[in-house]
Parts: sequence; structure tokens; C-alpha cells
Amino acid sequence: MIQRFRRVLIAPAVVLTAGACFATRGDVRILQGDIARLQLAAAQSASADTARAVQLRRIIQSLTIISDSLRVASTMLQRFQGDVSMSMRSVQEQLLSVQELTGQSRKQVESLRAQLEARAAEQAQVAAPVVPPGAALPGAAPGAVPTAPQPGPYQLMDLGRQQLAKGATSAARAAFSDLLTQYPTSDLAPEAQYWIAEAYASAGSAVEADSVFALVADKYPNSERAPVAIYKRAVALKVAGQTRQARTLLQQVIDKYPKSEAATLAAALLRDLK
Amino acid sequence: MALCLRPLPGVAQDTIPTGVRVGLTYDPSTRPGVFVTAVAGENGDSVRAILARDLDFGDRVNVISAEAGTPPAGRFNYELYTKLGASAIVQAAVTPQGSLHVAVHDVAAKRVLNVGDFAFNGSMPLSAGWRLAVHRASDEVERWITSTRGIAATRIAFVRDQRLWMVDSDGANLVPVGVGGTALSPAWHPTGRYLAYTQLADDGLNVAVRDLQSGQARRMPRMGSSNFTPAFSPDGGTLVYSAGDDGTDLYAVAAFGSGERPRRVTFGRGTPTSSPTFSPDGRKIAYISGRLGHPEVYITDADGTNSELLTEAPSGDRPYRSDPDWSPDGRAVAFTSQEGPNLQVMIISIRDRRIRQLTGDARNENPSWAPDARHVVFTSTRSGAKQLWVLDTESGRARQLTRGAGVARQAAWSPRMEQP
Repeated sequence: MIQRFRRVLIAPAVVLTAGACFATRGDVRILQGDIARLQLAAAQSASADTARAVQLRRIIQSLTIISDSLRVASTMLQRFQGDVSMSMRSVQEQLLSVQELTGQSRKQVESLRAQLEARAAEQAQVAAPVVPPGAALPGAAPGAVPTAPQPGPYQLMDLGRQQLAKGATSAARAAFSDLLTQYPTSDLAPEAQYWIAEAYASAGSAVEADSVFALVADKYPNSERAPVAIYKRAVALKVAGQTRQARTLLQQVIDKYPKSEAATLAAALLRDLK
Repeated sequence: MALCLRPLPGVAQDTIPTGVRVGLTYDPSTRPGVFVTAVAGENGDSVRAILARDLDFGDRVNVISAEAGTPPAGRFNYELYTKLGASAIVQAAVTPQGSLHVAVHDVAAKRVLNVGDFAFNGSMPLSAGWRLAVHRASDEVERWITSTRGIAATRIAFVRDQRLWMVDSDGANLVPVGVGGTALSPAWHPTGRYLAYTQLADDGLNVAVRDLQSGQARRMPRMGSSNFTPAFSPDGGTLVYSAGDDGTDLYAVAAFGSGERPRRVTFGRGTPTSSPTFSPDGRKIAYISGRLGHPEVYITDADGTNSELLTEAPSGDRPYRSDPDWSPDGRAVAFTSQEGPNLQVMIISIRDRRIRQLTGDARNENPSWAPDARHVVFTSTRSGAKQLWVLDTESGRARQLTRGAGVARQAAWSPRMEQP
């Protein structure tokens, strides 16, 4: 019987040696169950063996102390877990705010660059020598007519987005196309290609939009717009009732761009389609 | 005043087919004078009063106030109406067949501009259905004169003492919606037949859709314990609402589906996201998010992509923006903005992001656009207690819509109603 008691004692002892800070509510419950069983056993054996009963009482007292310690440790752990959870949430919220502010800053930088380009163009025009209408620029070939400075890529992007906001989809496409033609290696090229597709979608030209979204994913697979473009194609296919093709594209977003926001959206939509 | 000498031109030779507009040229920068004559038939005085008030509340014409005298008979003395400043005359009669016959005269052209009949559909005089028929007539008259349909045949749902109520656009016919328990944030279906709302239950906040004809309500799928601020898509097929536990996100679900799992539209990562409102083409949603640490209005594509901040707070500005409502013409979003100690109603242009403050007196919040994209209803403390007010965003003219005890808030302006 003593051996059984020893076995019973092993569990809380292991818990203690392993570190009370890992005790959970479950562990405390188990220990309390053990104490209850020992109390019952002590009561039964008291009449038979007084010495053993004394020993059992001591064991029970020790276990009660251990149980109390565990309960305190468990409470502390819960508090710690709560604190960690709160901290994690706070960090997550701060991260989101930082992401949002970064996005805002990027837009402001783009806007500022567009303004700088416009200023630079104005200055170039002011600095250019004044020539009478029809006359050639000094040093230029006879018959050459002075031309206005070309707008920069940020100016064109700004112009395209403004036109799109107005609903002037053709003018928007023209601005984005100019950006791609004149600045094909610009950082804004994937963005311009993407917004050409959006302009088509805004105008209700689904076929054209789909082909340009496909082009974004093919031509700029490493850009932020690639997963969004594939997701957009999938949404359009779902609306058109082409569920199987939509599923394929959604899976493609999840597989190729698992960390993108489009992948989260794709996973949600894929669940709907199953 | 014996102003009228001409018979009601129901079958006269100089009438023109309904819907065809000739003669009168409406200049939006001026308000043409309109004279509403006395109305023949049962409750004619009420018909005239409602027609004149509706046209006045439309803010597109100047209703000439003069005694109506007796219902016109014989030929109109157009010269006399010209002297009164009238560009158009509205002539109406309640017919024995149970309809309202309306004719509009072009004073300058000295002829009938348009005619129409509006059935009372057996409604008791002065009942909700009867009034709606007169309101519909007012809206058509406004369209004949200005080319823009009026907003008289609309209703406003709102919250008073945690219950849902409805009132006609002219402040008459105030009735409870009949939803038991605490209900908030009403939103109209584009047909005007259904109302979505938030309801407080034992298990948290739920979104429900009520059929206003049958009185049947249906609870929408839950995503966490808090489900609130619903909005219908312009085609009426989708309902989007805020849902979650700690943080909330927007979820879209088939409005009349069979319990499908809602699809997530936004990713606030534990931050509060709420109050969706669709663009009229259904491609975008404006909503509130606290992801910057304080609530601001954002817009996203309805498929969840391209989320961006709409109301950019000046650097260091911590107050909040809330209650967005996308205008029916798609050009602007109305919202509430904290300005110092008060809240004010503002609109932001979608095209150039310019913000215009609409209110300045007292505390003003919860704007909701009328179907004409010109008027907004909002909650204001300008008369003391919180009541609903209607503002003409072009002229700045405001009128009080609700009166009486209790706080009126969270107004939602209905589409134009065809059924009472």
C-alpha cells in the first residue's frame, strides 16, 4: 500500500521538479484529486494502522501545501499568459498602425515626387530659351519645334488615378499606358499595368480586365500587385460562374504568395467555393 | 382668388403623353416659382397641403404661397400667374375612381406640360398608403419641372429609446417598426421592402433582416459574439456587416441565402472595423477602422482588395471620423467628424478627396443620404434634445424632422417607395 502511495506522490513531485511555473489548471485539479483519494485512504487505514495514519496525515499536509503552491503558480502563469496575450495584441495593433502609416507615407512620398516632377518640368520650361513661333531652338536642327517637357512617372500615375476617380477610364488608361511606354523600367510599372486592368474593370470590360490582370501576374510576378491581380481574376471567374477555374487561381494565390493579404482573401473565398 | 379659367386637361387636345417634357427649362441655379392650385374632391385641402409641402421640401422649386381659392375651372389666366412669379402651375383633383389626377402647366408656354394619375389603391383617406400616393405625385411633378425626381415618397428609419421607428420624409406617419427588444443601426434594402438591423440578444449582438410587408424577421449567420452595422449591396443580394469578438471585421453574406458562412472582407487584425456602406455601383465599400489607433473612414474594393484611408487626419490629429454613408450618385461620402468638443457632419469628395463641413451649430452626427444625393438626414442637438434634421446640402437649408420625447438617432433614409 505504501508503494501505491509513493506512486501517487510521484506525479506531484515530478510536476514540482519540472517547475511549478508550467502547472496548469488541469495539473492542480489532478493534484486535488490525488489529495482527496489519499484522504479517503487515510480515513480507511486509520483504524487499522495508527502509525501509518499519522504518516499519511503528514503526507496529506505536505500535498496540501504543494497544492496551494501550485495554485499560486497557476494563477501567476495565467496572469503572465494574459499579459503576454495583451502585449502580443498591442504589438499586433502597433504593427498594423505602422503598416498603415507606412502605406500612408508611401502615398505621400509618391505624391511629393509627382509634385517635384511637375516643379522640375516647370523650371525646365522657364529655363528654356524663348524662341519665336516656328523658329528652331539654338543648336537644334532647322525646323525642330520646341516641345513641352514630358511628365514624370509619378505625375502620370497621379494623373491616371485622378482620372479613374472621376470615372474617366479611357483617360486613366492613357496616362498609365504613357507611364509604361515612357518609363518601362520605373518602379511604378507594375502599378501602372495593374491600374490599366482596374480601369477596364471599372468600364465594365471584363475580358480586357482579365487579360491585363493576367499580364500583371506574368510580367511582374515579384510585385505586390501580382497576387492581387490573380485574386481579381478568380473573383471575376466566380461571378461568371466558372467555379473550377476560379478555384485553381485562388489556390495559385495561396501557393505562390502565402504571406500576402490576397492569400488570406483567397483562402476565405476558396472555402466558400468548396 | 379666381385665377383659373381652364378645365383640368385630362383629355384636352393640348395635353402631351406622360413622361414627355416640353417647354419649361429648369435652371438648377434658380428655383422656378410653382403655384399649387386648390384641389377638387374629397380631402382636397390635405392633398394641396401635402403637394405644396413636398415641393417645398424638395428645395428645387419656390412654392408660391397664396390662398388657393376654389378649384380652377375654365381657362387659366396665365398672365396673372406670370405676375405672381409662377413658372409652373400644379393642378390636381381627387377622382371618383380613387386616384389623384395631376396636371402641370408651363406658364410661359401657356400650355400643359404633363399629366399623370396616381392610384390610391383603395387606401383610406389620410392613411399611410393614401399619403404615399400623394407623395409619389409630388415626386413626379418635381421631375416634370426640374428633370429630377423628388424624395417625398421615402421614409426614414431611426432609433429612439433603443427601438426602431419609421417616419415619412415630411415628418408625418411616425410608427414603430415592431422589432421586439433593443434594436440599432437600421439599413434599407434597395427595394424598400426589407430592413436590416442590429439586435441585442442574450448571446450578444445579432444582425437580422425584417420583411416589412410580412413582419417576418430572419437572423443572419453569426461570426463571434458581436454582429452589427449591416448594409445591403446596391443589387440587394449581399449583406455586409461587422462581426467578431475582441476585434471586428466586415463579413459579406448572401442576403437571402440559406445560412452560408459569411466571407471575410477586411483584415483589421484585432482592431475594430464597422459601419460599411456600398458605392452605388457595388464595387467599393466605405467603412470605419481603428487600425491607425483612432477611427477613420477607409474604402476597399468589395472583394477585399485595395483598402485605403479615405479621411486623412492631419498629422498629430487624434479625433475620429465615423458613420460613413456613400451618396447615391457615388460622388461623395458623408461622415461624422469630431471637431473640438463637438461632432459635425462632413462630406468628402471621392474625386479629389476635398472635405466640406455641412454643419456647425451644436452637435451633429449619423448622416444618411436621401435618394436624390442632395439631402441628408442626421441627428442634431440644435433644438436641445437629439432629434432628426434634414439638410439641403446645396442651399444649407435645414428642417426638423422628428419631435417629441426621446433621443432620435441612427437615421437611415429609404429608397423611393412604391408600396406603403
